[in-house]
Amino acid sequence: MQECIARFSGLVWSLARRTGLPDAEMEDAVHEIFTELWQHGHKYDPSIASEAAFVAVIARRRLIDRRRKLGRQPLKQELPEFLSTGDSPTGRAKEISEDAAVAAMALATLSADQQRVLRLSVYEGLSHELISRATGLPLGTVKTHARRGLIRLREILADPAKIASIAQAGGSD
Amino acid sequence: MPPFPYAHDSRLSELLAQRSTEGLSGAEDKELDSLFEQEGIEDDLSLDVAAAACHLAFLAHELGDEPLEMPEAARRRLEISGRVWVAARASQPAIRPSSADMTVHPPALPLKMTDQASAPTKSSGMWPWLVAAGFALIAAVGWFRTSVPVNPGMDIVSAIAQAPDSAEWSWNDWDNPEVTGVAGSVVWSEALQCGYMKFRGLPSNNPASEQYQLWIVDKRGLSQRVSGAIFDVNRDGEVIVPVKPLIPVQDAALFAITIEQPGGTWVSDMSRRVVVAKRPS
Repeated sequence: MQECIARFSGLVWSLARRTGLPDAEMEDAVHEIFTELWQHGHKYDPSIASEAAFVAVIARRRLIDRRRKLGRQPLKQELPEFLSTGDSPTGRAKEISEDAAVAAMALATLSADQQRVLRLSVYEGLSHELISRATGLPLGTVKTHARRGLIRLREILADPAKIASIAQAGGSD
Repeated sequence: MPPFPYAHDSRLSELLAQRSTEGLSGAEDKELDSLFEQEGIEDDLSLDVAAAACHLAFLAHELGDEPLEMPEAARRRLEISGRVWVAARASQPAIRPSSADMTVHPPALPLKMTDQASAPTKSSGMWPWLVAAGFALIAAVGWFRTSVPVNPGMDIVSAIAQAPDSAEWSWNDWDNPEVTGVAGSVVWSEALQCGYMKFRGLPSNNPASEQYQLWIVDKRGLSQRVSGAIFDVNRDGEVIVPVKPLIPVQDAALFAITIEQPGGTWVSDMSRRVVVAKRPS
């Protein structure tokens, strides 16, 4: 239990901080996430996904639930600041963990609009509707970018040969 | 992993993507269930994994190799919560109904499941560990359906007592109580979302005809009270009953004990009242 906290408290806290939940809600969510990890961590299968991804899937589901309970309000005020797509995660791929680096390479193969929508949706926690208002993209287009972007990521991440070829090509598919 | 097996523009794909980005409403979750059924599959969490990987990439880009550190106070509370959890698990096998003085049956289902209902509740052949790990509803419900020990070990009691926000609330007679002369208190930690109740003078009940049920009223008001435990008493003297509601309690204001039908009730008319504990001022 303590090892689990030691290893993943930073990751879970980092994920939770991005949600913009009030402090008490965020801490409650963190407790829920760790309770799930303690209950089911023994079922983790390293052949299927990394530990970080395992933790992140659990954490994201809990945090999304919390956010919905609170009415899915905008999570950040400085919206224009993160609407830029110029700062791609691939730029620091060598500095970051292997898991995230692979995901960053896969992200780099997506269209600029898909990357932007996934950043706003997955990372910034904005609803599709808010992304539509903020970017001027029609709501249906936002949903399409999110869906197709995720499906594309799924296909790349599931195919080691594809990842290797992207890496050899320097981050482009 | 096989290729994504659904048409990319299908409604099923739409809902899977929405679930992994902004979550689903209750109606959408039901619709997804129906589509899974039509496809003859139980669930597919692969887009959740893709979204998690995407999140990690952006997070690492922002923070580099070092994630944020959890504040010391929050981490301490989490460790206490972990000790409570470990102690509770460790003490469960020691309790056998035949020898227990009292057993407690936490509620079989939450009274209000609006948001939790969006969590997948099905297993998946492709991602069994994810289903088992990520989606607590089945596990939580299963856990809550299992009798847990009463008179828990002192490690649980002391761990809850260590929580910085733990507070003791005294039982008082309720209006028009069916049982009088009950004393004791509730020790509750909002941060840990658990506590325990102490009773003296709570009469033994016949579980075949009635059981005690704990209700927690929080900031959502009386109409959305949370069922915290269903329990039996079959001995004199002080008894201790753990409290671990399935639904998160938000700013608890009142704990109340009623007598209900065996198995408890989803909606109590609160007519058979025992004791009540209000938040200390």
